[in-house]
Amino acid sequence: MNSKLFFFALDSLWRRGGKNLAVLAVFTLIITLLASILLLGGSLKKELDLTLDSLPDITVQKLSAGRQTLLDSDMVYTITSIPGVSLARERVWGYYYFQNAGVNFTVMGLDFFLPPYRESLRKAVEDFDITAHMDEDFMIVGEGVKATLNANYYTDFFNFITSSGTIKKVNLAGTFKGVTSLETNDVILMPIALAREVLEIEETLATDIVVTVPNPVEIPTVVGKIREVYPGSRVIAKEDIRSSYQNIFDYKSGIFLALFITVFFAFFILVYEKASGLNAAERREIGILKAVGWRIEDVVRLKLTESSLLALSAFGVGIMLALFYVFILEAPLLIDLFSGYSILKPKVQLPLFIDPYTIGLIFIATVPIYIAAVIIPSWRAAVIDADEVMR
Amino acid sequence: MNKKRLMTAFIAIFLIVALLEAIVLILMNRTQTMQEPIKQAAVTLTGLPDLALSTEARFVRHRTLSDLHAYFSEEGTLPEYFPSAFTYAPPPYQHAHARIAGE
Repeated sequence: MNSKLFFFALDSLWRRGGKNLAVLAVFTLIITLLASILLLGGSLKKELDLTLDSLPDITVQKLSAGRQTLLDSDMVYTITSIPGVSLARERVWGYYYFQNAGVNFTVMGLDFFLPPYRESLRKAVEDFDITAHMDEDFMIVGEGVKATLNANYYTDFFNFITSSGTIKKVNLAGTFKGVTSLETNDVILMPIALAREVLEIEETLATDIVVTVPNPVEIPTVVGKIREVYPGSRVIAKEDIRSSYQNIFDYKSGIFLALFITVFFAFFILVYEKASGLNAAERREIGILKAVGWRIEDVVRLKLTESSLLALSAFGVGIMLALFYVFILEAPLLIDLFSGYSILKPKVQLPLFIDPYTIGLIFIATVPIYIAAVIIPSWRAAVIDADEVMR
Repeated sequence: MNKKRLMTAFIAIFLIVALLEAIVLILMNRTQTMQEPIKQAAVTLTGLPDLALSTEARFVRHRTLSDLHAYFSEEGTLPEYFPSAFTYAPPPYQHAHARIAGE
């Protein structure tokens, strides 16, 4: 590009400094807002995808009258006998409502002595030694649960009140590491037998069954067979959860729609103001340029340089601000869109994930439109005779 | 020239800030990558999907495992009333027209 033209364009931007600064500020703000919300959504999706492979291959639930109900533990034996299944295991879990704080905890029963869990316990739980708690009722809690219990003066134990009214005292044996708070903030992990007592689930019943199928190719066949044997069940394979994670945010309605409408409305006012025509001073400028010998393409090139400079600076600064806001400041205020009414809010540490498609989409949706909205009216003014434009 | 100097200053500040931000983000990314196995171990233990970001209702806390009719958990005519229902979409296999992939 001609450097003289570049500096001429800079001069021209400078001459209408106040107006251009206002456009730059609004444009930057729009891009920041749009990029922040999409980056934040992408980051939460990334967090989900990170742990997807640790989930069970197949989860079997029993449905009754459209609701999930407890299922018969004996189903485990039938499911294990299906070819391709290496392990089927009943799970006992549910929710415990802690009335004093008004929060729901997720209570999960776990067989602490199964070999695959030993390594995981060592990795995910802060100083926990199972041998010290062999002969007592114990639990491992998430950070949020611990904070809630501490706020209610339970520092080393908790009294669960079962649905029949009996009190069950359980010692606090460990806490999940802080980095896992997005996964474990509301979780209470305890031995299966204890979970049965707390949630009052009989020996012969279970919440759901998880199935391990070593060969991923066989999963659809196994799912089909389970469904054949138990028509009243809902079978959710890992692939289903993957597709569910892909569509977790409702970008087409609700809060996002409201936000996108606001952003695009603001942007189109900006574009409309530009596209609706040049003011008298700008027209005169183009007329003078033509009178001193500029060609139409020179005028268009000047306007292209001007608008690109403005739009690209707005885009660059906007994306930078968004990255700073989302990943370094941890998206204050905006994160509340995702946590809703929840009282038990985790300390969020958003994983860094920058999706090039998202950035590209924001670029395409804003920058070329703005540039076109500047060039087209200028071109229209430039094709008219110089004396007519100046008059 | 004053304008040129100002422009150079703007570009310089932009580049310096961008560089600093990139360094911070790269360092952050490195620590986060090291923490990934811890998160995976935690999910191996719980075996539960979804994030504990919103725990107000079952259909957001365990969105992928919730009931087909969880939106009507209180009564058939009562629509969803938690703000998070306006943020999270139900899993695709809970739409009436969709099917579970294995079918």
